[in-house]
Amino acid sequence: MRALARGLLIPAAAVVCWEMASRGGVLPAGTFSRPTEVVAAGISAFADGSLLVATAQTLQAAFVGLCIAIVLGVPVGMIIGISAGMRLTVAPTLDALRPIPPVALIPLSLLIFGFGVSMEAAVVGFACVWSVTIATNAAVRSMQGRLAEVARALELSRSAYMRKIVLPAALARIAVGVRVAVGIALVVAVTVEIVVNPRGLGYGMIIAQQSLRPDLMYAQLLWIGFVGWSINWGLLKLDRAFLSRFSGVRVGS
Amino acid sequence: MTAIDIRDVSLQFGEGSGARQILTGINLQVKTGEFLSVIGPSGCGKTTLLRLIAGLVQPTGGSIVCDGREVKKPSRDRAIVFQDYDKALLPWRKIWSNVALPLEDRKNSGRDLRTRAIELLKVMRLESVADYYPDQLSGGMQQRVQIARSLAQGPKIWLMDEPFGALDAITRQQLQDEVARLAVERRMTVVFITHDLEEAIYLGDRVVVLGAHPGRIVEEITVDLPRPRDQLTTREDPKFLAHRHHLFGLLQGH
Repeated sequence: MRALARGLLIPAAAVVCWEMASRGGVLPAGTFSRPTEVVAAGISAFADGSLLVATAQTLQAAFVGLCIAIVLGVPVGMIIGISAGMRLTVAPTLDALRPIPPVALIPLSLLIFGFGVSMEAAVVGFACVWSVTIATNAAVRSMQGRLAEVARALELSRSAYMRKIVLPAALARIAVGVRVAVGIALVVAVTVEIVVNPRGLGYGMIIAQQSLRPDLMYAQLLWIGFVGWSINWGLLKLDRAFLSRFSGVRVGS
Repeated sequence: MTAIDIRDVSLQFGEGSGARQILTGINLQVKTGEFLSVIGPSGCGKTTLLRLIAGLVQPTGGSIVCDGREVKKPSRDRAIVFQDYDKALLPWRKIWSNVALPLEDRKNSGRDLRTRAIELLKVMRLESVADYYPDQLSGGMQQRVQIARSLAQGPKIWLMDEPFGALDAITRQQLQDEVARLAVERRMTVVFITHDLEEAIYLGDRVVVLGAHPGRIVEEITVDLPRPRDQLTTREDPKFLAHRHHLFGLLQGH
């Protein structure tokens, strides 16, 4: 509790200063809404449901994009992790595609899918697939050799070896890549919404800004921060609950 | 009957001037049901010899024939028990599920698998920890789990690579007696690698001594001690001591 209190000291002081500076006329009201106004705007956006709808839209696109990244990235990462031949064949193409900034694909994605969740998810998927692929590849390659020998000695088929040995052995490290990807997914989804896609929290913010509602814009900004933080916190909890066994190192007892 | 026939086997890594000769001119026949101990200084290639018999490595010269067929790859007939039980078990699987791994290919239903795994755990007196995970057990118990798993594949040949090297003396003695009993009960041919001279004599029908650089057979003795053997009386038997004396001098010489 003491640690929590200390951690809240700076944000609380900032809010108080902000409120006083706004009321004293030091900060221009058109740019910096007062914290009290921001809270009020947030509550009304909650009450009329618009904030929750926008949140659901953003999370939907981020989630679909993330699923695309996992469905593509984990198998590809496993294959190039296991087979040196496939690595030599596939890695150059991946290395060539990876430096393309995901947001540079927004026009292309818009051309293919039009406005809506698909174009957003596609860009998110492209942005996220790399961290999943790289983490999976590294996880598979760092798997210690004894387990591979156990599998050989038992004459496991290639698919049984992948399913029963390689994937579980790599799971904890793959999860790290997915966690990185989750952060990227949210950033890219909001970016796509701000730039072009008329849906979700990013679009809500740009509309609030353009209709001279900085209070609402701040409310959404704080909310996005909170959503991102909650997701990361939830993933960490999930990791600890389910994956400690897979890393081979037990946390607690 | 010859279970394992090793004919003039050699192994070298690399070629030309950088080549390293690991094993050379190994000729060894192991009879069906025989318990063969292999001992030698570290780096003499005794583990490599076991890996050759397992089929994990191919010899660069000569051949190894098991049950009439040349060894080209690992087979479920030849179970390996590794020294590093903590790396050889699957940490994400419960104990029973680790033991069930070799049974899974054969159209066993989930419930049946568990029942059969528990039976094997009973053989190793591990049924009370069936639902634990490997890292919740002591080293000795983990090694018992690996032994139970190796039994699950129903091997004819049991290949053990310094299985008790990392265990304390009391646990080691208990496991020695269990392994000796299981080998007889299940009529398995055993190749047992160890760096512990007394362990080699205590367990073996025969002890092969390897020399180093390059690895080769330098001595072979038959251990004519009665079975079942006993940790106290066998180790005090004058024959046991005579073997120990003889081989000890030999190992010191290298």
